[in-house]
Amino acid sequence: MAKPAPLLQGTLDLIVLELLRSEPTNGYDLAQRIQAVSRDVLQVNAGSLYPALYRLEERGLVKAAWKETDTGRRAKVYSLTAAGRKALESQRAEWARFAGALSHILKRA
Amino acid sequence: MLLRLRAVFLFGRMQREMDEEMRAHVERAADRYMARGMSRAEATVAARREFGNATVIASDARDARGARWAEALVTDIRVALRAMRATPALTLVITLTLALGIGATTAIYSIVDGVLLRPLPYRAPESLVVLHDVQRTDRDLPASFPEYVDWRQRTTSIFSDVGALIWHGEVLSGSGDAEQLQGAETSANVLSMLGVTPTLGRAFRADEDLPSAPRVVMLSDDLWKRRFNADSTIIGRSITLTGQPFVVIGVYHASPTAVLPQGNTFAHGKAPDFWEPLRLSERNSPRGVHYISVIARLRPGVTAAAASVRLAAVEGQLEKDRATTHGIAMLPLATELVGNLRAPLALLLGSVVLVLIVACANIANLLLARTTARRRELAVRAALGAGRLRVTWHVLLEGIVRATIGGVCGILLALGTVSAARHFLREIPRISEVTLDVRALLIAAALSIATGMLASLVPALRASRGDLVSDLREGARGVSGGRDRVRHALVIAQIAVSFTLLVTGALLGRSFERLTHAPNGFDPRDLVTASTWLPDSRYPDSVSQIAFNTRLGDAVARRFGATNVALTSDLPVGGGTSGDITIVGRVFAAGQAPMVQKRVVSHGYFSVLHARLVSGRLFAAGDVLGAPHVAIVNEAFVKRWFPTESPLGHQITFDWNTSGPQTIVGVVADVREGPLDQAAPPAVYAPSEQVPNTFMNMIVRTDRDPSGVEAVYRDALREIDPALPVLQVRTMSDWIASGIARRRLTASILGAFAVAALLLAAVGLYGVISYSVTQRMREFGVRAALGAVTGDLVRLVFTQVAGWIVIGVAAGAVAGLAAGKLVSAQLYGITQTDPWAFGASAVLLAIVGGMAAFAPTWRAARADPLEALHAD
Repeated sequence: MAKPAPLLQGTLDLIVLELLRSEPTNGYDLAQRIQAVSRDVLQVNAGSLYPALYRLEERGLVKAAWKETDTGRRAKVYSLTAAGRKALESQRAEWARFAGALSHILKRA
Repeated sequence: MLLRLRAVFLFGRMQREMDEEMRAHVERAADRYMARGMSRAEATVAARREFGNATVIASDARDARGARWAEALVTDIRVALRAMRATPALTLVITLTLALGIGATTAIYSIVDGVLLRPLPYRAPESLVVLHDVQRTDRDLPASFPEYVDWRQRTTSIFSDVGALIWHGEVLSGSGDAEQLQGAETSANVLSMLGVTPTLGRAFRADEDLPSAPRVVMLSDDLWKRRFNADSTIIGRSITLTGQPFVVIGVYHASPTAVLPQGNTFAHGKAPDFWEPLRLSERNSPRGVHYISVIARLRPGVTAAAASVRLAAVEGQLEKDRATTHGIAMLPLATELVGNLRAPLALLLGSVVLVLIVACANIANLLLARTTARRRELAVRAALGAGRLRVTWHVLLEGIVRATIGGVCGILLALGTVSAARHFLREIPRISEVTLDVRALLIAAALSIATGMLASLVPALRASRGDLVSDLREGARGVSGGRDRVRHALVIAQIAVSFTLLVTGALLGRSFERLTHAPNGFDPRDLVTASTWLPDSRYPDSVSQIAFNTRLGDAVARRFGATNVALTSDLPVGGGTSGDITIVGRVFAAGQAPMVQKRVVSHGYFSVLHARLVSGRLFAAGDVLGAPHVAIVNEAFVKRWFPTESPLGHQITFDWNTSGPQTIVGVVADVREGPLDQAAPPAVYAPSEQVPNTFMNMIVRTDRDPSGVEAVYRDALREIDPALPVLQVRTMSDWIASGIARRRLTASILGAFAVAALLLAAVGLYGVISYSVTQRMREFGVRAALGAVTGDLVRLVFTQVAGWIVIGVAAGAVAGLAAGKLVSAQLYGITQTDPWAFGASAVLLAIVGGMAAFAPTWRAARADPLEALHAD
């Protein structure tokens, strides 16, 4: 297996928003899912994830609530707000433009 | 305020939730690892490692939330506390330094200030002086009554007032139990001279100190409340003091701080219970009896120097008019009460400043070293985007938290020291006035804390200013040589200061030690003393006084054995009673008349004290009233006046209390009948069954404690005369100790400073060596790689340490010689260049220095070539 790739600056917010769009989830599962969905290419550590979550919560893009999990643990579950959805759309578009431009440059070389 | 509290409260909840969330994360990660077959412990460790540093994450997470400042403050303090826990050695060392620096200096300054510096509690105390009688051979005698009269009459141009005072005991009886009181007999003007005014009734009238005046007394308000229920009709009523009626004319406020001169010694912070007028005349108090303290107030505008010059003229006149060789000496009252401690005082205050400087230097050194070592970490944090203010703030806050903890320890130490001093140094005059000096505390604390903050702030500001590249590249080695030199100079200065204080402390301590072991001519162990006071009114003549003393001695001897009980008019190793004698058949030149210590003792005195008979005989049962008058002299007496012949058979005369000449029947080895720090004075002893005395001390040789003796003594008194009080029951050792209390104070204060300075120097040395070793680990690694063995590396570090110590000790020795000169008057039995004091201090310093250097040296010695090379 290849070494996990570092996250590009600014991409973590996008990833978090995207994963929360499909399903509200807690911090731990979110970290696991990032790893799984990206086929182990991306690995996010708690030190980046929680600050990102709090930052998003502070900006009103996600909201948090305490819920009981299947294992009986109390967990803080994050979900997307309306503002979060809007932000996700615009960031997704921006990313697509950026990625398109980047792959264009790389292909040319 | 409420908002702030709310913020902190909310913050607390947020913090708890965040903690819980992160804990849950770690637990679930651990479950995952366990599912893969790890043990719980392994899984927890792995989960934690995966999670990362919870503290930092929490802190960053909070930053992300834009936490309010109150929340941030609490967290940051926690981070600072955690940083302190992570560096326990540094934390301990800084706390210790601050505690010592603030605590020791403040406490000691408070004691010095309270005992020595604070003005006496009298009106215009600076112009009060004490006058002493001086003779060529005997300095500082109390005055005799005729001298007092002469001085008062002839010094009106120098002093606005001259007064006389005798410390005096009375027994109050009549209402309730008989009680021993301590008070003073004074000339009528002393109260107004000291500024004591009655709170009730009136003070003495000018003519009330004449022998013909009716007996009057003023009472302290303490006594008045305690014994007379604060009854204001007491004025004008008669009370009974030691069997005599006295009319109460006034009540005064007994300030607990009043200290009064008492002959050659002083009363310890206890205000007199009463004042009585001194009703003396030349008839009942001849020129040869020296027992009066003379106090005077300088006229406005007359300086002490001018007064001395004019006093010398008065002295010259008196010498002619009275055919006397006795002169006058003048001392400021404050000097009389606490001694001439100007020189040691300068040393003590200097020490306070030095210790404080050393403490500040230490803190600066340690924090400078720590912050410099953290420059790389700080640079990394700045590179990762931490705000400049934030980084600086973290460093500053750590300094503040450390300083606060150290400061609190310092205050506790200061409080503890002051209360310990009040408890253990009780014999020091005015010690009860000592309280913690808040100004000194604030100054010391502010200095140390400001130093700490400055020292940590400077490198932090530098690091945050973005000199990142060089800091990252150089890492912890990026220290200029200049700063190293300053650091090393500070350490050398610390060593020098502590050496100076050690030497001075050792000189004084050794003097004190020598003094306590000075040969007294007797064995002070297992001796207990007690005394009582016979009122003249009920024991008016020799027969009744002698009979009483004999009966009391016999009664106590029944319990302790006749060979273990003795009586004496004055305890040895004290001021005693001195006076002129004449030697029959001798004529003395002016100034050479014999002045001796006079003692009235029972015949068991010498054997109970284990004193040695040199020639002749001791007193025996036959030396009683009516038998031929006999006396015993000591070797100092013989050396002085009978250097070539035997004194046995010669006759002498006291000009006091005896009738007819006494024949010398024995010579005893010197029992120290004067102060411990002076050579044994010539002494003459008379038998107590032949010469009366109204104040006798009993000495009992026993292994029982003083209370056992007191019970027996009290029973004996009750049997003979229930109205008499039991006075001053104590061990002989306590009595001796009280005579050298002043020396003990100076020695213990300087000793405390020396220990504080030594600890600080050790701490400083440790800090600097430790830092230097850390800096040079790479160098040591390279050396190790090139084949240096452990011994080489140890030598490398120790050579540097030894160099510092040698230079420091050399500088300290020079200062020590100067300081020794300051305290030379306090030395006993050694000189100020005492090699033992210097040698022991140097050895102690070397040992402590070596211990401080040990741990860092050990680290250097185990320098791993690989690790050292990887370090950067």
